[in-house]
Amino acid sequence: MMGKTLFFKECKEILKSITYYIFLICVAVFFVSQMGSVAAVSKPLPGAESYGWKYSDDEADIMASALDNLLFELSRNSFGTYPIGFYKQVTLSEDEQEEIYEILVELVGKTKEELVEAVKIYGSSMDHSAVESIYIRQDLSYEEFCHAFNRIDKILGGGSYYRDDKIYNHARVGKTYQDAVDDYRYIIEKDHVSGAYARIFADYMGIILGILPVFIAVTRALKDRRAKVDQVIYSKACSSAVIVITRYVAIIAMTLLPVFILSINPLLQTIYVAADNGITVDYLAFLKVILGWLLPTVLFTVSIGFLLTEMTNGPLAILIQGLFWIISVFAASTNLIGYVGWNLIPRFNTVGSYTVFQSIFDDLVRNRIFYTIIAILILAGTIIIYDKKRRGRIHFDRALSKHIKG
Amino acid sequence: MLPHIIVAVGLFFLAPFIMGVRNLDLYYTAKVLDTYVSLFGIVLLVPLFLPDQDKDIRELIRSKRESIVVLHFIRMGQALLVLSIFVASFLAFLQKGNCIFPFGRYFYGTMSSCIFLGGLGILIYAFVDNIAAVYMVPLMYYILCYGGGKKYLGKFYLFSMFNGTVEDKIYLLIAGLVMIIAGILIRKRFPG
Repeated sequence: MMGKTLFFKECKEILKSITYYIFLICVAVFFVSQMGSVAAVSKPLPGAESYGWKYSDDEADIMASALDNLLFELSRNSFGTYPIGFYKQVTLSEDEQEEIYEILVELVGKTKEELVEAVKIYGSSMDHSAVESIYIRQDLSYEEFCHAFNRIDKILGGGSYYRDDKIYNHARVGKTYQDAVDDYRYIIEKDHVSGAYARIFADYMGIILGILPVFIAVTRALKDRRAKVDQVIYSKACSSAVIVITRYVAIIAMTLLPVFILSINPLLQTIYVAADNGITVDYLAFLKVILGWLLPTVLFTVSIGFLLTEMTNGPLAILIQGLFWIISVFAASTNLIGYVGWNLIPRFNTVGSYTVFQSIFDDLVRNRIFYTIIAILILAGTIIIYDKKRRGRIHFDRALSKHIKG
Repeated sequence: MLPHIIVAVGLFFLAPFIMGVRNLDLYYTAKVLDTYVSLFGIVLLVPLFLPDQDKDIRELIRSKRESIVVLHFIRMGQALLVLSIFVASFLAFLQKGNCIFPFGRYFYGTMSSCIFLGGLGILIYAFVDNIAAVYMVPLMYYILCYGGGKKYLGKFYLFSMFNGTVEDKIYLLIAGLVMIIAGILIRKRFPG
C-alpha cells in the first residue's frame, strides 16, 4: 500500500519535471520524423523492372564475390573494416600482404607469382579481366573457404566483411519475382502486417530509449539534493529498497507511457492495411515489442542513471551512458537489418524480412534477458549504496562529487 | 571546468579504439569530425553556468562589483579556447595518421558544429536550472541529425561536412554564437 502511494507520488514528481516534457517532445519529434506512415501492402506484380535486392545465400555466389572484392582491395592495398561500426581503412605492410597471397594460393590453385602479377595489373589498369582467371578451387569446401577468410580477417585486424559471419555481405543479388511474393506472403501470413511494422517501431524507438531515460533518472536522483530534502527523506521510516524501487518503477512507467500512446497510431494504420488484404492484425504486436524489446533497454538505461548519480551526486551518468549509446549505435551502423549481438540497441530497420527476424530471434531473446539481468543487478547495487549513504556509512558525495559536480 | 576537460580527454583517447583514425580520405575524415568530434562542444561548452548553479553561490557572485555577465563571458572564452585546442589537436592527430584533408576548412567546420551544439545547450541552460535537461536538448538535436533529419533541418543540419560541403557551417557558427550570447544575457535577467 505504501509502495502504491509512493509510486503515484513519484509519477507526480516526474510530471512536475521539465526534463520529462523535453523527453516527451523529443520522443514525439523523433517518432514523427523517422517512422513516417504505414505504406499499403500489396501483392507484387510480375514483370517489374526491379524487386529490390537481397543477400544471396548461395555458397558459390558468396565465395566468388568475396574473392572478387578481396582482389580489388588487395590491388589498392586499402581494406575497409568496421571494428565497432566506424569505417576503418586498413593499409597492410609488405609482410602482411605476403601472408594474404599465401592464403590465396591455397584457395585458387595459382602460384604466388601469378597472383601478384595479376593483382598488380588489375591495380594499375582497373581492368577486371586481369583477375577473371582467378577463381576458387572446385574441390574447396565452404568451411575451408570460411576458415581461410577468417585468417585474412585476423591479418586485417578484425571487423572486416571477410569474417565468416559477415562474409554474406559481399554477395548482393537482385530479388526475383518469387522472392518478392514470398516477402509479401510472410508479411500477411506470419506478421499479420502489424508484426512487420512493430519491429521497425521498436528499431526507431530503441535508438532514443537507449539514452533519453537516463536524463529523467539523473534529474530524479539529483532532485532531493537540489531541493535540500535528501536528509529529510533519509530519516523517513520507508526502507531504502522501497524508495529506490518505487522511483525506478515510476520512471519506467512514465517513460513507456508515451511509447504506448505513440504505438496506437501505426497499429491503427496496420489495421486498415490488413483489412485491405482481407486479414486481421495481431493487436498485441506493438505491446509485445514494447515489453519484450524496448523495456530491457529502458531498464538498463535508468539503472545506469540511478547508480552513477547515487555514486557521484552529479550528471556523470549522462556522459557515460551517452558514450555507451554512441558505441551501441555506431556498432550497428553497418548492418541495420538484424544486428543483435550484445548490443544495447538491437537494429531491425526494415518492414518485413520475416526470415531474417526468425534467424536472429534467439539472439534477440538472449540479448534482452542479458540486459534485464544486468539492469536488475545494477539496481540492487544502487539500493545498497543508497542505504549506506542513508546510514552515513559512505560519503561518495564528499569523495567523488568534489570532482564531478552536479 | 576540470571534470569536463577530463571527459573530453577520455573521448579523445577513446577515439582510436572505436573508429578508424588512420589513412582516411576526405569523406571519412569528415565523418569522424562531424559525428564524433562535434560532441566535444556539448561536453566543454554546455556546463557554462554549472559553477554558479547553486542559488546561494549565484547570489554571492551577484553581490560582487564585477557583473556576472562579464564572468560568464570570460568563462566562455576559456571554454572556447580549450575547445579549439582539443579540435586542433584531434585534427593534428588525424593528419599524423596519414588522413588527407584541408586542415583549416575542417577546423572551421568542426568548431562550427561544436559551437552550435554548445550554444543550444547554453540557451536552454539560461531558462532551466537543470543540467540533465540542458544536456538533453543538444544531444537530441544530434540524434535527429543522425536519424537523417536533413530534410527537416536544412541549413542547420550538423553533418553537412560529411556530405561534402562546409558552406552550410556558417549558419551553425552564427546561430551557435547568437545562442551563446543570448544565453548569457538571458541568464542575467532570468536566473533559472
